[in-house]
Order: sequence, then structure tokens, then C-alpha cells
Amino acid sequence: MLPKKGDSPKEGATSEDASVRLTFVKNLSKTAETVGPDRFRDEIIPEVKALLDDDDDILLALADELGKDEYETYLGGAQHNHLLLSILESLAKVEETGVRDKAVASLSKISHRIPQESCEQHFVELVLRLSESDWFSPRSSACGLISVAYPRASPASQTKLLLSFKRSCEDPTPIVRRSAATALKKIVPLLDKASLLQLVESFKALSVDDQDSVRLLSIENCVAFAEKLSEEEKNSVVKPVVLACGSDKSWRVRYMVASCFTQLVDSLGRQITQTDLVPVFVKLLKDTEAEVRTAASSKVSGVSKLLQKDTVIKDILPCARALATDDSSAVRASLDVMGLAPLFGKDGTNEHLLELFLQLLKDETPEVRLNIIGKLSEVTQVLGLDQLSQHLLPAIMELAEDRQWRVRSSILEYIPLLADQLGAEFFNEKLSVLCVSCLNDCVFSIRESATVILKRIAAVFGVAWAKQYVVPKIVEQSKHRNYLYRTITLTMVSSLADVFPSSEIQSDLLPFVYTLATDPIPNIRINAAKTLNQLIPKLETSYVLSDIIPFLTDKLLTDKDRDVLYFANVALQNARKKQ
Amino acid sequence: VNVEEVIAKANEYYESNASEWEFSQMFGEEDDPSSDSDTTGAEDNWISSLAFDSTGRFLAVGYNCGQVVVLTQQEDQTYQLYTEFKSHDSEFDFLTSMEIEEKINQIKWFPYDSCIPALLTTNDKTIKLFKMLEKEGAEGGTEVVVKPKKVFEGAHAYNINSVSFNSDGETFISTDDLRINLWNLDITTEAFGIVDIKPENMDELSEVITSSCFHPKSCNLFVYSTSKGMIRMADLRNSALCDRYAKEFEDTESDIGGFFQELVTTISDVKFSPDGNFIVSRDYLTMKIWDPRVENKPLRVVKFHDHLVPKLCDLYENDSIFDKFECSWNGNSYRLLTGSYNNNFYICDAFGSHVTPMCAVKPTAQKPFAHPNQHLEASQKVLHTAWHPTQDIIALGAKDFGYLYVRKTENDPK
Repeated sequence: MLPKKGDSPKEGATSEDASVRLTFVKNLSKTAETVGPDRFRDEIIPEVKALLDDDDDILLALADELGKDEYETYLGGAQHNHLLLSILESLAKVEETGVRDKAVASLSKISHRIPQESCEQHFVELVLRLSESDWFSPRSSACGLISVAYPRASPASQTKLLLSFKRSCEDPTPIVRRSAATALKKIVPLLDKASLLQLVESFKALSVDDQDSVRLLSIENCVAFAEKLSEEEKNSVVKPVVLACGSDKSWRVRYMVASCFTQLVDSLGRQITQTDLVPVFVKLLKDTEAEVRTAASSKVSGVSKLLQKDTVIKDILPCARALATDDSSAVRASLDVMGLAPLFGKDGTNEHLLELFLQLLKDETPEVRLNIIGKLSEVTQVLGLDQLSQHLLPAIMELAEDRQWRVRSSILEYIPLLADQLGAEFFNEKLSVLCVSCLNDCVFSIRESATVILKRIAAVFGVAWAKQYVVPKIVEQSKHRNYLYRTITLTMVSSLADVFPSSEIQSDLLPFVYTLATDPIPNIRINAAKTLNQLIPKLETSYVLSDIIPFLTDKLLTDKDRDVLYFANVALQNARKKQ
Repeated sequence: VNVEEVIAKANEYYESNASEWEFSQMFGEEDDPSSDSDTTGAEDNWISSLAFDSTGRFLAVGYNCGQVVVLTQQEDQTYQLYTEFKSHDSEFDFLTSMEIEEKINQIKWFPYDSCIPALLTTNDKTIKLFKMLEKEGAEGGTEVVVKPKKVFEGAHAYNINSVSFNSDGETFISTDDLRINLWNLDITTEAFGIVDIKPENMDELSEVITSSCFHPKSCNLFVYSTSKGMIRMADLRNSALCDRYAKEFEDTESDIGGFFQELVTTISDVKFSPDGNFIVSRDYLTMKIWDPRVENKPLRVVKFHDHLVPKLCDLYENDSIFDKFECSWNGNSYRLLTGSYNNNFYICDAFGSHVTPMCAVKPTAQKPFAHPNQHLEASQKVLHTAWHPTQDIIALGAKDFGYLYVRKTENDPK
């Protein structure tokens, strides 16, 4: 709904119809371009302000819109950016979290464009006002803005900002404390040592908060603090919090420790990791709650890479072995031990890891097996093909024949990866049969995936390979009794055409299309026409003129089915454009 | 928590704050004396839920017809109409060929004071979050606009009986006959099933959940009551699934025996005290106060329905034995309120022995209610109750009328 000539651009804002008001907001930039900066400031901005107690979706659109860079130009320059601030300030006070978050994001964006002279007055004061509100929503928004205001504030204001932040950490409502805990990690990198130490008390208080939802945010703050503190301070300040959270009564807090573990190790350093963190990780791997074990087991490789090999063998591996037989299939499916192979080298992998891989490869739950196959690359690099293939193949074949089609689909996804690593010879021998049989799968999704997969493999192995191994299969397929399976041939042709040069398309692929274009089933003829249409851009013009157009014209005149005629016509028009 | 100290302090309180109550207000449309209040459609106006918000500034009243009326406290402590809105409409469930009633089963207010008050309302299947905004009206005055902000639906195969906010201000639980779901206020598309008592074989079904309630301060604790008179406390910290409850409270002693034993032990309401230290459960004949540290017997049993025991047969015949009475704590966790028949209600000293029986009736009413010993008027029941969070003002719902009573204090001009 663009403003029509003669319409006042601001009419949309006062409409009774909410969808009209929403359109007004979404078209604000066009309105701005139409009326120019002066009128935009004098007439349109007041209209926008009137929308401030409107529905949430309008407010959300407004918050989003006003954060865009172009508005600086629409307003007539950076000196006017503050006009947007008061609107966004109101939006940051709103109840609805989505609107508030968007307003905070937009405010952050704009703040960078406010000239330094006016930043203190316009932006920093705004943040302080929000943080002193009687209501919890603005106080919550203020937390998210402190990291943006701080770098640009005067030293006096910086002190005030920190003070208001500390108050938020002790706010009576959990909502504000959560915002504070989330914001803390963004503020920490901005501070000098003295100010940082001021926040340590708040950091500790949040980590022992009554509310689980506040405590669990402490972990990421641990990482932020650790990155800025000395070794001794890490030991005295951060380590106790990590240890406490690792054995917190709430499984959600322990879960956070598990999922952030690699970052904790990175930030706390080798020394503390070796002495204190390893026991924590081991405990998490054995946690009573399956969700925690799942998070921890997905980090086994990531964490082990940062540890000494002996520690891994002594402490981590026994746990990994236990996890491979965990009751919960989710835990087993997230177990990431493949990444350990490079760490151990060929002999080490053979000795310690191979058994584990094979056990998981035989798991009764398909997702567990898929997980292993998906991460094979790290292992094959270390072990080489031969050993694996004898174990791998039966597993792959079994997954490819799984009753659940989604499992079959997943294993298909991995085939190009395997083809790449295992090489053409191996693929031809063992896997090509599989791929082609998927062309005959009873589920369409799988047949379609198979065409894409074969194309990707053809891209890796080359056209010659495709001509030798894939094309004959297409020939067979195109003669299938059931029309559904004949149809897939055409999809295969389109797919391969992406990787075939036009000469090869002409010589090897088009013959099928011609044959199927005279198939008794109209459905197939329609698809043939569509396929021709798709192929035309890839063919040489001369060929199009000499062969395609006559063929299409021929069909046009003779086919009885309306839809076939239609698609043939579309292809013909496309072909004629090439002239 | 030292229970002896609590009892001592409570009794001191009772000494200096006598439990004497007087009528303050009545709301609802007066019946035409000649009309029969049992005509079809008349039940639409019956109150089905009552709730004060965390400040006492608002009182929400839910009705069988799906309407919610919000009253606000004036300077003279009375309540006047603030706004009203249609919360739920009746729906037809095509899968089961049954109508989903619009009756509001429960209303709960957001636990933290906000410039835009928010409340959850629920019918049998759908929970909705509403927010009330004050806007400048057309003529310059303020008008109140109520907006449905979120709709939480599709997560309950059975009928929802309660909703309860978590003290974290972020999540809430909704409870039906067999399951409890945990929701995030911002996310309507997903809920976590944290309790599931559905048996593998539905033929073996013998117990349903009747009510549930989060702890007012601890974000990890909640209780739920069952039709077998059990109260289970679950801890969200322990594990993702709370099927393995942390504590189970059961009173094995209080037995009237006989045919009706099972029917009267079903718990109709369970609530934490506002200080979080005790739990009250309302079954058909009593209210029981539990110390969370003692699972095998209640701390106290408050009796007020002994006169019903000889009449259980009649009450069974007219289905009244299945009535679900609510109960409410007062703000300092010392007194309890619950309703009964003949428009009676009882204010009980939780840690003392005094029970104040009252009758919800307009002082100028021509037709007072008979004493239950003379004639048990089972159709006149006060099922729904609410107590102001900081003041001694109580709200009662009896069919289509709501009553507000206040405690008489020495400062009373009368």
C-alpha cells in the first residue's frame, strides 16, 4: 500500500484498521523518501509517536524499522538521530519481551551513530533513566544497554552506569536479575581491572541466586571473567563458581557447565583444567540426569583435545565406554568420540578407540549409528580405508535398508562424503548398487534425494565415470514397468545435466527424454516436457534450433493431453527465445 | 522453620486480631425473585473462579460463560468495576465430538507488580495470557483495554484444572487430570511434560490429579494433589521429568470408614502458604495443614464439616459429594478460608482451634439461608474463595453472586 498521489502519507498511522497501521510502519522508509527530511521530522515523527500504545506486532515492526541505518539520512543527518531515541526509549519500556529486545537492539545500533558530543546527554541519560524506573520491564531493558553506553560515557557517567548495573544484579524481580546476568558477559570485556573487580561481588551473588534461571547464566560469565583475570584471580574468583555450578542441585545449571565446557577449559587454562576441571567433567559424564550426560558426551572430543593424552586415557575414556552403553539413546547418539582419533594416532586409535567405534556402529538405535558415520572423516584420515570398510559397509547397508525412511534418507546424505573419502573404486564396488537401489525406493523423498546424491558424486568422480556407471542404470530405470519409477529417470537427467557439458547432455541424456516424451502415461510426457524446458538453457543454440524445436512442435501438434501441450508450449517459447 | 515458634506467634496474632467479619459488598445481578435460578442458561452467570493479584489492587472474577470481570480497589477499600472481557469461547472438538466449555476453570495473576497487569485464564483445554492496558479514551478519560497476548493450546488431552506461575516470572505449569506441563510465557508452540501419571493400560486408571501449585518463592518446587488424597511434591532441579516425586504426603489416620471413604478423601484444592512454609489441602470434610518436612501425617486437621457426615448418603444421591471446594490462605499465613453449603463459609485459625462460621448473604436479604443442621441446602454452595494478599478482605463466589467480607477491627467506626 504505497501512498497514492494526493494521499497524506500520515493517514495510515491513524487508521482504525490495524493492518493499515502496520503497513504504514513497514512503508515508513518509502514515506520518508517521498516527503523529505524536514517534513519527515515535523509531520511524520509525531504520527509515529502516536502509535506507541498500539498492538505488539505494530510496535515490533516499529522497533525493527527505526534501527535501520537509512533513517539517519531520512531525518536529515546524524544530529537528528536523537529523535528516534525517545521513541525507542518508550518501546524499551514495553511489557512484551520481543518488542523490548528489538528496541534494545535498535538502540544499540543507533548509539554508534550518535555524535560523541550529544551521546552523553541523549543516550547515556536514556539508559540511566530506564534503569531507575519503578517498573521491571524498563530496568530489564537497561541492563542490555549498559554495554553499549559504557564505552561512550564520561568517567562520571561510567561510574553511575556500573552502580545501576550492580543494583540490577540485586533487583527484587528475577526478570531483571536474569537480564543483568545475561548482560554481564558483554560488560566484562569493556572494563579496566579496577572496575572489573567491582563487579566480582555481583558475579558471585548471581552465581548463588535462589532462582535456577539466574544461576545457570553464570557459566558464560565465568568464561568472560576468566579471559580477563590473572592466573591467581582465576583460581580465587572463577574456579570456585565453576566447581559450585558443576555440582549444583539443579540439573539445568550442570547442563550449562557441560555445554560450555570447552570454553571453560580454554579460558581457565591448562593448569586449572588439569587439576580441577577434569574431575568436574568426569562427574558430568556420569551425571544422574540424562540431559546433562547428553551435553557432556557431545563434548568429549572437544575437551579431550585440550588435555594431555594420559589424562584422556585414564579419566575420560572409561567414561566414554560407559556412555556407549548408556540407557538413554539420546546420550549414546550424542557421544562424540570420533574426534579423538587424531589425538591418538594410528596405533593409539587401534588400541583404544576402534572397539568403541565398532560398538556404536552396531547400536540398536539408528541415530547412534548415523552419528558415527557422519563423523567418520577424522577417523579415516588416521586409520585409512581398509580397516574401516569391512566394518563400515555392513553398517551402511543396514541403515540403508532401515524400515524408517528418515533413517534411509540420512544415510543417503552421507554417501557423497564417503564417496569422496573412499574413492571411485570402492564406491563402484560397494556403494553404487545402494545408490541406484534408492532410485527405486518406495518413498518419493528418497528417490528424489538419490538423484541429488548421484549428481554430487558425479561432480566428484567426473563425467566419464557418470557415463560409465550411472547412465546405464538410467537406461534400465527408464524401462521400468511402474510409471512412478520411470518418472524419476527424468529427475535424474535434470540433475545430471548440472554437471554434464552440453555435448554430453545431447549425446547421452537427451535420448531418454525423447523416449519418455512418447510414453503412454501423460504424467511422464508432462515431466519430459518440463525436463526439456530445464535443459534448454544448458544446450547449444544450434542444437536447440535443429533438434529441440522441431521435436517440440511435433509434440504440440500431436499430443492429446492438455497439460502436456501446455508444458510443451512453455518449453517451445523458451527455446525460441534462444534464437 | 520452627513449628512451635510459628504456632506461638500465630496464637499471639489470633489474640489480638479477632476473627469477626462483616459484609462489605455484593456483586452480580440480583435475581428476579419469581424466576427460578435453575433455568437453562442461568448457570452461565455463575462464578467459576476468583483471584486477587499480587498487590490486591485487582480482583478477577471468572464465569461459566467465559466472561472475566476485573474489579479494582477504591480508596474506601471497596471494589468497583475496572474492566471486563470475554476470555474463552466454547469450541467444538471434532475429534471427540464433544463441546469444549468456555467455563473459566482458574485465573492466576502474574506474580510481579507491573505497569501492565497480566493474568492467565484457562478453560478445559486452552490457557490464555491477557494484559490490561490503560489508554487515553476518546473523551479524554482513561479506558482499559484488555488484550490476549498469548494462547497456549493443544497440549492437554484431558481437562485442565489448574495453572500456576513460577516465581521466576518466566514459566508456569498447567495441570489436567493426568499430566502437568511446564510452559515458558514467551513460547506458545512448545511445552514440557514434567508429570505423567497415565497408566499404560487405561483400564487400570484409579487416580487423577485434582490441583497443583508452585511454591511462592522457590522456583523448583511444586505440589499436586490427587483424587486418592495424596499430595506429591516435585523438585524441578532433580531431573527433567518429575514423575519420581520428591515427597508424598498422605494422611493415613483420618478415616470415617465406610462406602464414602474414598469419595471424601479426594483433594479439591492444594495451596502453599504465602510464606512458603506450609501446605493446605482441602478435601470434602476437612482442611489439612502440612509441614513439608513431615510426610506421614498432617500438622493439623481443621474440621468444620462434621455435620455433613450423617448426611453423606443424601449428598451422594444428589451428586453434591463431588463438589470441589477451594480454600485460601490469608496474607500472613495464619488463617484459612473455605466455602460450604447453605452459602456458608468458614474462616479458620490455621494454628489455633477457632473456626468462624459465616453465611454469605446480603444484610438486607429477605430470605436468609437455613442453618445446615435444620435443612441442608446443597444447591447453595460457596465453591470459590480468594483472600486479599495483604489485607483482611475476602471474596466468595456463590452461584451468580460474589460477596466481599472484611474483618472487623477496633478501628471500625461502628
